[in-house]
Amino acid sequence: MNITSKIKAEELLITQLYKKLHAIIDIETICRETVKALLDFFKTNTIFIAVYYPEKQSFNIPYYVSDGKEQQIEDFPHDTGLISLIIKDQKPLIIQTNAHDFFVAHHAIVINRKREPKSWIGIPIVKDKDLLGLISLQNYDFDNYFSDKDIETLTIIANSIAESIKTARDYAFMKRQAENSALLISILNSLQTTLDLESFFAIFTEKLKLLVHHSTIAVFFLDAEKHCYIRTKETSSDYDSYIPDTISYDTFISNDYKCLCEGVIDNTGTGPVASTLLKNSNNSIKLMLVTITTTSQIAGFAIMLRSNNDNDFTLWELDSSNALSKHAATIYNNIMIFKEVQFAKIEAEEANKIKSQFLATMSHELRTPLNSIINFAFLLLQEVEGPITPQQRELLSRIELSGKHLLSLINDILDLAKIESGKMELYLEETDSNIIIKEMIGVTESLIQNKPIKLIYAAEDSLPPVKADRVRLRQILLNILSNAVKFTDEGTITLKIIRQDDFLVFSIIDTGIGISESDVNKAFAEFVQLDTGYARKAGGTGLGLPIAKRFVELHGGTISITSEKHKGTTVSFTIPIYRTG
Amino acid sequence: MGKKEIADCTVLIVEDDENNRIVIERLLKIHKVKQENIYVFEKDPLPQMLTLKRNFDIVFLDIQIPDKDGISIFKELKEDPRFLNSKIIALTANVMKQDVAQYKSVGFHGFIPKPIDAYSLKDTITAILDESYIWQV
Repeated sequence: MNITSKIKAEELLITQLYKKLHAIIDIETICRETVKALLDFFKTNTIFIAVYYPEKQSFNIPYYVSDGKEQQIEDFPHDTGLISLIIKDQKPLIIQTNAHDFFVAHHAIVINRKREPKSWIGIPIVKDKDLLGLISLQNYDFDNYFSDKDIETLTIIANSIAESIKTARDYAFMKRQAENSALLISILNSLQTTLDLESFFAIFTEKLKLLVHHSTIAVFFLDAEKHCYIRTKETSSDYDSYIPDTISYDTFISNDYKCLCEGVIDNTGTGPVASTLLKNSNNSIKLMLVTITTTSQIAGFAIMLRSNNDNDFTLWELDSSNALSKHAATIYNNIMIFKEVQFAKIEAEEANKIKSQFLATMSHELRTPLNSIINFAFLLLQEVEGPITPQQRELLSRIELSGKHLLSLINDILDLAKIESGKMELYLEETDSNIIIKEMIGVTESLIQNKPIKLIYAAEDSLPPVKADRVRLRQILLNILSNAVKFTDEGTITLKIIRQDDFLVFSIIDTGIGISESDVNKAFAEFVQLDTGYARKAGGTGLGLPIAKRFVELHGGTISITSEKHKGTTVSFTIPIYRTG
Repeated sequence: MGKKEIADCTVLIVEDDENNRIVIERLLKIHKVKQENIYVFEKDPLPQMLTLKRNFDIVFLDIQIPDKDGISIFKELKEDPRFLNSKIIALTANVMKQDVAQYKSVGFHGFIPKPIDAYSLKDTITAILDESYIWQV
């Protein structure tokens, strides 16, 4: 081959290889294609590309051919023989004669032990001063097989390979990032759906395993009562001789708090965290720790262990584990809040149950003697046991009336309790307002008895039906009307009803004792009888208006009261008009 | 069988409280029920009624009585031919909505809450007798 054609061939090799490598994004293929092209061109015994992995500080040869035979080559450390020379200087090395002496002088390990190269050339693959690998060509038969010109050619090719390896690595990194982001998101999603602590820690452990490979993971959670961290059930037992079942809170916290929160990598296995937390710490293991830190405390943590034969824990692994732990802490917080709310709810439900039971019992126990009181008075009033005097009649009537008063008090309390606990159900149906009002006027007249009160009814002739619970609408009207009768000695009680939009407005206007301005807003509060002296005389439970208010509101209406002392009181409430369809 | 008046009825009362027994008995008497037609028991009446050959028109059954609850007694009465045509009424101070719903669902013919409203007692019983009684649940 003459010089011109050799130069042409070199140029062709360089340009073709450049084009080929440009499209390849995995490192093994880059090496294979380059080696094949170089073998074609140099026709020598052995050519390989060793790819450097800085995190392992070792070289890997993905594709190795010697005398046409493909072989598997183990990874080798960066400080091996001749290679260490190339790395140190980041310069090509060429051995043209006396190769054996050179190898001996530099303790070079010869990969092919049967035959020692006579010519050797090594070119570093460097990108932006980072060593990415090296190309090595060997010839077993001749001295001076490679020339200085070959160094130039191979250096250009090395640059081209450097570019490709860099791209491949960036691509792999990005792909891994994307995969890990997707993984992290799916992990968070599954964590978010859990609401009990046990499955929370189980999922946390399981997901941590997806992020940190080749390690034993022990997750601990804080038992505040026992003042210690307890290992969860999910932990595998691979490193039982290292990982204790419990770690006291004080021991754990004796480490630098900030360090704990940020996470710890200890690839020596002998740092402060390893020596305080592990049963025994020595350099046969590597340790990583991340914590689940809430605003108030470190709620739990994960210890990850690896044999020292395995890779170091990397910053990337720590970062992604920390990201997981950080989100886990938020979810942990939510679970704790949920638990508190749930506990409060159970307690409230329990208290409600006891209250309901108490009310039912009270109701039953009071009704039994009331049956005697009310009905014995009734029987005596009927004179079945003989005639009674007018004075006896009056007293017996008072006994009967007091008994009935006590009964209505019991009923009111039960109603109110039912409303309070949200158990009051209304049966809302189309209700003829006219019929109910007619009934209520009759009842009110009987309440007025001999008092000099005139009952006035003011409404249009035919009122529309309302959407109401009949029993409760009667109760609302009766409570307000009986109050009006109670608190009015003379004058008028007016029942006025008007339509207003989708409602009927009922107003009960009396000319009674009235309520002072400062007391008006207490009128709807339970058990407040205003101006107690008078109220005693008038009788009443003090629950009439509060119950009326609750029932009006359950109907979807509103109630209001206006009053002037010694002038009278007006109570107005609205009930929705019934609409068909 | 034509319409039956209260005054012509044979009545069984099951009630553990003495005062309550007197109340219902006397109230019935006001409505002209004959003394010889009123049978009163403090507890489960059936063991004491083994030899009694009578049919009853009305049974007033308390629900909370010692040893056996009114619901169980009701079910046993329903098995007894002497009560085939009886109107069985829950007469009780257990007046919560769910209680009343239970009386209705197991088949009681009516419910009278304690304290008894003497003024409406006759109307209620009459409604139960002529089967126009309406449950308030």
